Amino acid sequence: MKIAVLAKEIPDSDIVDAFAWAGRLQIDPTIKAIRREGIALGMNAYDEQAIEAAMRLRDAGVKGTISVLSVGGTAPDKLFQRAFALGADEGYHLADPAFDEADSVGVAHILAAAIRHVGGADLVLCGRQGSDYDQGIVGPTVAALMDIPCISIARDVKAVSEKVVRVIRVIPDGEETVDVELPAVVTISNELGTPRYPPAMALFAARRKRATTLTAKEIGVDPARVSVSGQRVRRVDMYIPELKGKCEFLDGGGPREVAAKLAQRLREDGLI
Amino acid sequence: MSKSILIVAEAEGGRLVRMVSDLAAVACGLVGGAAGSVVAALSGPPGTAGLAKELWPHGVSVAYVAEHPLLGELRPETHARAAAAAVQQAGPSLVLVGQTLLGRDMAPYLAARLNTSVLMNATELRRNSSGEVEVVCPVYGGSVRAVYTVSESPATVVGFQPGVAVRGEAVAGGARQGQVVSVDPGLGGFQSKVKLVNRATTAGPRLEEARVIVSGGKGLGDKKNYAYIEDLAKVVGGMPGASRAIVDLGWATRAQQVGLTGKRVSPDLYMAIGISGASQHMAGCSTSKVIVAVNRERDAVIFKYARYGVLGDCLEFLPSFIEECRKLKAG
Repeated sequence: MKIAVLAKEIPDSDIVDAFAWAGRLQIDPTIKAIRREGIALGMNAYDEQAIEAAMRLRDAGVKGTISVLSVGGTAPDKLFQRAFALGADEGYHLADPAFDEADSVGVAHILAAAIRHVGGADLVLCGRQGSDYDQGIVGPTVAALMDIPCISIARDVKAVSEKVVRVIRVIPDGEETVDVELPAVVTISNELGTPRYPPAMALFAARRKRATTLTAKEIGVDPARVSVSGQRVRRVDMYIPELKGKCEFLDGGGPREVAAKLAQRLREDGLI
Repeated sequence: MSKSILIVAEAEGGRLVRMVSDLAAVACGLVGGAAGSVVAALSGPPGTAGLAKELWPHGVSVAYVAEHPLLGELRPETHARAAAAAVQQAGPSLVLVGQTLLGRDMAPYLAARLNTSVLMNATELRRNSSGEVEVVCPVYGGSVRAVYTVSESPATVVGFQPGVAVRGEAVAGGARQGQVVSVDPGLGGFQSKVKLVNRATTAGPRLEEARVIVSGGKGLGDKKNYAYIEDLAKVVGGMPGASRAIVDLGWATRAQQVGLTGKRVSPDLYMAIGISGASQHMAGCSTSKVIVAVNRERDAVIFKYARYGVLGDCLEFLPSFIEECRKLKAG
């Protein structure tokens, strides 16, 4: 079974959160994006879990290569080191000035072409969404472009045979189990669990591995097709919403007095 | 500017889903009540056309209906084909999709089939002073807002999160009778590659419909203390919720998770107990009418959202508060 995992480099979301909390997050008005000074870049955590899903298939006896594909980014070596350490066999870095204007749809075009170029995939795995823009577009769009099914928000993927996987999806009030004929795209959610910590040997071996760089021409994707979607949907502003902060603190006395005050207040407001 | 806006009207189990009226309200809001400018794509198994009449009171004037036995299953591959056929026939300037379980995947599929662009998680749709359509989307877990201008030719597909768009009511002046146009979903020869093995959902009341929600976070300190949250919820006639942190720890179930990747709720009263107020959590509850926060940290972000705040250890506060509420309820 050939497994392709799609991975994205993003600013570390824990650090972005911490900056936002501390009121230190800033927007660069010229590029309409967050300022990245002091914010580490790394692989989207949901995509790391997609590699983990591939590794669990391997642990269960599924044979075949696990390839990681990623578009652009500013520190691709770091991303691929991480991918190799987590267990990927091959890495493909899709890098070309023609990709600069790609939005999610453009990125999906690049990835679909790259998957074709490297000989196709039986199972395409990726995170449910990027923790930067939270859009969740790439997985389903790659599936649509390859004309194959997409099963989203999975917490478990098991091989039923070489041709079929059984996926447990997380749905709003429970779970859904589906069997899907390959090839297919499956997007992975955090419920899959934490990826394994790479053993020291794997970390060491990963340092010697290199990803293969591929350009637009090499994968045969039309640069115009890659950029047109991003030209039609333009980011014109980015801002940090201001919070009103009109909290009335209830105090005076111990927990019992405060509890009584709050209960009384909520009763007066007709809330309880 | 005379072109229409098309909403994808999802039907499940022979009923329109709740988001349909919200999408219709968003569309009506943008066209400013111009008659004949909001249309819908409706797809489902044979017999679905009968639901079209429920769209008219919401300002929809034409329903493009695709019926096919395969559309009884809520799969994006098939419903995107049906919606694409409707869009090609209607020629709208925008396509709005509700991010239900189906819509979340269907919107990108539909955009790919139409060879157009797509934006998800929209919370606002408006026309700017230059007449362009602007879409606002929360990004970085809700810490930041991004504003986009979107193409109307070809029409951009815009996905809306449930519960964040305006609550749609029947609109005054909504047509009493609309037009049903039947479209071919183009599913001849389509072979489904996906087989549903099992669907297990918890029965009973849903968090999204609760008037009062009491949610617990890591400030509870231990799994056993979640019992306080359940007790309090019961006493005040609400439902217990949870932050993702404690769902990941196994203190509460996934169905109770409020936030970006959990439930979007908007109750009259939301009590956040031992929850710091990370943007990913607030993305699921910040539209609640009244938020009460109990937290030990004076600087916790949750207090910026809260109407009432209690500064202190939630474990010292909860037993007294449960008792006070019980007294009030009894009295």
